[in-house]
Amino acid sequence: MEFAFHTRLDDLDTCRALSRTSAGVARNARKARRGMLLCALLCAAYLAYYVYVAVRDEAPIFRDPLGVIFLLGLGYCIVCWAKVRGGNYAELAAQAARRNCPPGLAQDARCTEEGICLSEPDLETRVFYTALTRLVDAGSHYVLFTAPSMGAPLDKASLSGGDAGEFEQFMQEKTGLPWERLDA
Amino acid sequence: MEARFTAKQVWDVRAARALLHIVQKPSARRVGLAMLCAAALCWGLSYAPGMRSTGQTLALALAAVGVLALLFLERVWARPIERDRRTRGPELALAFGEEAVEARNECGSTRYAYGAFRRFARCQGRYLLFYRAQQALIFTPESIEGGDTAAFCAFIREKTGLTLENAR
Repeated sequence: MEFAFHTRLDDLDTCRALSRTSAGVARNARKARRGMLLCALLCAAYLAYYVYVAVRDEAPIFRDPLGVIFLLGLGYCIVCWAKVRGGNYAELAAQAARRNCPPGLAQDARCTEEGICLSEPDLETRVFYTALTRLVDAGSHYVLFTAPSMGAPLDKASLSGGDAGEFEQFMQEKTGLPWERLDA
Repeated sequence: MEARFTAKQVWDVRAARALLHIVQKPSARRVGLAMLCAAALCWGLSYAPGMRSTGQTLALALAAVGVLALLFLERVWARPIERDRRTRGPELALAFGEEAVEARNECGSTRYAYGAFRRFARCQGRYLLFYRAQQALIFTPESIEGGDTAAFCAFIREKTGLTLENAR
């Protein structure tokens, strides 16, 4: 049995599938959200203290530029936090990955009884099934991970050699790993 | 494939740090230095009338963050990258043949034609041979067998046209 795929690596959907399923991107998104929230809370706490001191001393609230700077900082942190909420961080990561990818770069993949063969111009990789750590169904693409953030995206639309159900069953038998469904 | 040179790639935190040092933009050093420059600027502004407390507070905070960034930021960034790219076979045997480089371990193998390489750099005691913008073969000069480092660099230059950059 042999399944073949042809995947364009410079396609935004491919980059999106990779970034949405990558453990590293998910962790960075969490860190960015928490970091921005923490900065916003620190700015808010300082501003509260700043206003308290002004009221206690019966002075004008914004008596020096420090209050304005922290107010601007608070606004900036809130805007950044809103930007990286939900799937926005993954989208930004996908766009950055696409910018880094040479235009027109495509990858052919063959899943055979022995292993997976991935070929690009000037580069050919053969991976045994024991190397795979995760199998993810990301909607338009399958992603086969060999490390938490390193995966081979396979365009479902280009699948030949069988249908999607057969491929999924074949991979599950070969690797012993369950399929993770991203959109489920 | 007959190999002219062999080497060993070990993926660890130091390798991740070397990679990060070259590909990260802005680099940790640049972030730290920018903060120190901003701190100096704030300190200068503190001499303006009514700005003393504001300028000095910001200068001290920025200087502290800048020093921390210079000392630790790259190490902090390198650890998760090392974890994220750690495969089931972290060691790769590299064989530099006449036509291609072959990287092999118990999980599989990859063959890189010399035309795939776009950058050859040395950073933090490792050689980095880039085949994508953020992906490289990383190995120590000590792990090279088949000749000394000068002969190896000459071989890479002959095959790829790339000269060794020293990334500081």
